[in-house]
Amino acid sequence: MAKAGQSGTGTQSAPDDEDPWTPGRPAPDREARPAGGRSRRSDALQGCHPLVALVFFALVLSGAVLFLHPVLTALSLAGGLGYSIHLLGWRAVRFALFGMTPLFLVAAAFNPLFSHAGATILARLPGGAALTLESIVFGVFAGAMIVTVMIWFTACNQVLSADKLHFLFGRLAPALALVFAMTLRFVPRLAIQARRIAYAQRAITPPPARRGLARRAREGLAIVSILTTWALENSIETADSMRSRGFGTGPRSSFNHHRIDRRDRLTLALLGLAAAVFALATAYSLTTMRFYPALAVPSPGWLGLAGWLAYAGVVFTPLALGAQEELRWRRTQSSA
Amino acid sequence: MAAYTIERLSFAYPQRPAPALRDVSLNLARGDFAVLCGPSGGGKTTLLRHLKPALTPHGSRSGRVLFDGRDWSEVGPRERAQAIGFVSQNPDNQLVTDKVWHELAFGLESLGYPNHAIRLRVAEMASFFGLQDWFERDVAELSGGQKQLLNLASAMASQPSALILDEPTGQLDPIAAAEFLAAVKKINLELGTTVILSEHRLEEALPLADQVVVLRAGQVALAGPPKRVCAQAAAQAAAQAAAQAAAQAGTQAGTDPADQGAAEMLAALPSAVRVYAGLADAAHAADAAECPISVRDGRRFLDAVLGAASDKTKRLAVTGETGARADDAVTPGRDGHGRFGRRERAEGPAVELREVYFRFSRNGPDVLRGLSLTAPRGSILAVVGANGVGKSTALGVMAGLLRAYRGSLAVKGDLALLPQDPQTVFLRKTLEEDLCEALKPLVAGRSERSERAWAAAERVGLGHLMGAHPYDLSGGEQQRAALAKVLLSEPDVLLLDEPTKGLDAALKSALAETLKALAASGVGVVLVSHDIEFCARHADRCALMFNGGVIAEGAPREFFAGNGFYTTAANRMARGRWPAAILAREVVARCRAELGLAPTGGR
Repeated sequence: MAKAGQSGTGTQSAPDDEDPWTPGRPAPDREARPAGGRSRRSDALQGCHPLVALVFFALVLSGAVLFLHPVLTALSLAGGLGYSIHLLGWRAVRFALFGMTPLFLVAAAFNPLFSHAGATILARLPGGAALTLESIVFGVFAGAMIVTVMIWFTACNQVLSADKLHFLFGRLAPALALVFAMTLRFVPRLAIQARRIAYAQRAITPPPARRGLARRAREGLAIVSILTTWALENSIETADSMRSRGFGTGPRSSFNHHRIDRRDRLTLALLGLAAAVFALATAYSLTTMRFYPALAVPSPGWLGLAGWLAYAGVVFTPLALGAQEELRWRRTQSSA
Repeated sequence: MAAYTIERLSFAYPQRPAPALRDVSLNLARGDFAVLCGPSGGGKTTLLRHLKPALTPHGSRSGRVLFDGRDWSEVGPRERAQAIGFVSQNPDNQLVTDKVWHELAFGLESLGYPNHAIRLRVAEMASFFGLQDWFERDVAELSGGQKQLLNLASAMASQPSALILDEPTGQLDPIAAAEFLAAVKKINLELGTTVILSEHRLEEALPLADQVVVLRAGQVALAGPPKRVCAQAAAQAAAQAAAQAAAQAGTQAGTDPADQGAAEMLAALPSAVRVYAGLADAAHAADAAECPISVRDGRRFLDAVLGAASDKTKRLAVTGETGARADDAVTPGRDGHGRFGRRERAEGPAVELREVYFRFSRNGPDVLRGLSLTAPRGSILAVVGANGVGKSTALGVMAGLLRAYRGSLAVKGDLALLPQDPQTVFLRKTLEEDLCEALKPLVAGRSERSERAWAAAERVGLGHLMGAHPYDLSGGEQQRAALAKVLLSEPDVLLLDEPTKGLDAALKSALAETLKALAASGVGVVLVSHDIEFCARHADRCALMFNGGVIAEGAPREFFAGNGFYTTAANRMARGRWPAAILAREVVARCRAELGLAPTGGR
């Protein structure tokens, strides 16, 4: 046997990156989903405790849905766009241009076609219904809201990876959390096995018979059925592995390697403060404009202004944290 | 003090008359490295599972197992889990969670360790096994070897005093297997953990062991330090050969069935042992009584046996050719398999790849780069090479499953591909149903289908299992069943991906016979394998792939004779002496010729 490349207990066994039995997996050029669900760029919020990210996204997403207000919506959209571009680079730009812009236009155009409420009639539609300024503006805001939420979700997806969600909700229900982790392991395996079986079957079935739709459907069903058996069969070994490592011998603990540090505490405190300001501003109806019967933006006052400021602080939190890290990094480099 | 004391353990699975274990008694001292070997179905797994109560099968049992001198009733469930680590064959099935760090922590979580204790322990494990680089990764991203190393580390996380490994390298390629065994040896040496390992790769495992136990038909056939066990096995095989010769001389054909397995057992042992077995008489004369088990020892053994003659042979080796001629005289003609062999081969290529380029995605790297390969009809072509050089991809291209973006592919006749994992081949609930279903596009009549399915199953000796679920078959049976299914269409070209993975010596030679019979009937057989010994022994041609192309190609002898690393153990042992000797029996034959001894009848 060739042992030339052997390196003790090293970890450099060649990854089967060209394994054609799992088509779909080997794609070095595909936007490789980075290890641990992390983006390739280093990001400050990703480095924070998952609780910080959870509170942040909860605030931002509920803000994006609840606050229909020219200043607040614009802030949220700008913050979301800025952050997703920071995280994903040109992919975020592409997503915004080719995915979100059409969505925004459709949503904005839809409302005035179907809603004719509002006091300011601009024109009459061919059917005789009124085209009102209010319905157009509401459409624009609804579209902006949907787009903003979508963009924040893409960022959320990057930052709150499955293992962080697992950690966050694992504290509430450890058993459920384990099921969650096992599912995350199991589902992709099932998909890979399905592809492997399909690949193997293509090599067995002679080509002419492959064509028929009915036969293909039947084979698809057969694959699903054998997959069930496969899963059960293999889960016996998984169960053995669990039992041999003491599963079921007593109460489980739940391991995590996250620590709340001083920055996390400070950020959480500031986010909490901002949330309190939002609540107050919302109680005074300062965070939502009125669309019908006529457009009316609440005059801000000192509370409204504070709300704007707090909102700006919240939506730009990840970028601010990133900028702070960047600055510190530069400083350490130049002083070194 | 004894880690395990096994006293007269017998065990039978329910509803099976033959006991799986018969009167097994063993004593394993703390810190021992024990290797358990023997043919598949010999009771290795059953015995190992008796050493880990959580996995002990149900059935009727007598005798007892003591752990650290205590009966299981005195060892609580927590200690049983904590103090005994277990790793089995399939790297994927043992992983429970989706992240490397979580997998490492799983056992400790189950035992209820607090967070800070787990953090330390997990960090220790990651450092000891060198897992830091993939600590935060998804387990799905790891290679098979990395997964198995992770399973080992996870089992070690609770700091067990005994580690039980059930054919842990069965699914790994040779490099990953060697890395894994090195890690196990490191655990044994540096932590003093008792290791009990069942293994088919004895070439690598035996030199690591303090104790070897050969289990056959549920009984301990041999046990002791590796060199002694190997010497005994060699002696038994010699005795059996002599008995057979005597039985052939007289008309009596009855040999003792207990001895029947001796040759089979010897076949599974390292090449050095087989060379020793063939030279036992010379060894006694040269006073080299110790049985060699590694290539290094084997070389020294040859030096000792040949003694003063060594200078002369070196000169002969330099002048070349002598080796090849001697070999032709000694080994029976290799091309003589089957009546049609030669004629069919003259018909030309079965598959021909010409300057094929392939990549998985547009911007990805080329996996195949100008690959040219011709597989003649009626012979076996073995493609060898390290991981990731594109061997499996080449098969995919030959089978038309993957499209080359440059180059040409010519296939004469029908082609079938046996994938690495036989489980991907089956779709139905019973083997019969599965084979009949596969025949649907080929054969119209229902009764005729059934007839052909049965014939196919009988041919691979699985007629009695037609009613069984394909997944319920053993690994070797599954592979034979998959082969039967693939052969239903009576292909002219058969491609096999790693067909010897996880097979023991007996199953390998059975597979070789099947392939040779196919080649004799004119089928072009192409197999991709890491198993150099198998390719050297059974292939008609070998091709070495590297970096997406074929680097060298030739008949096994000329092919392996020139290689320094990538060659058989026997060849590495004979290097500098007889470069053309690539099998243990060839080394033996040359050595005997040199010493002026009569050639042996056996291997």
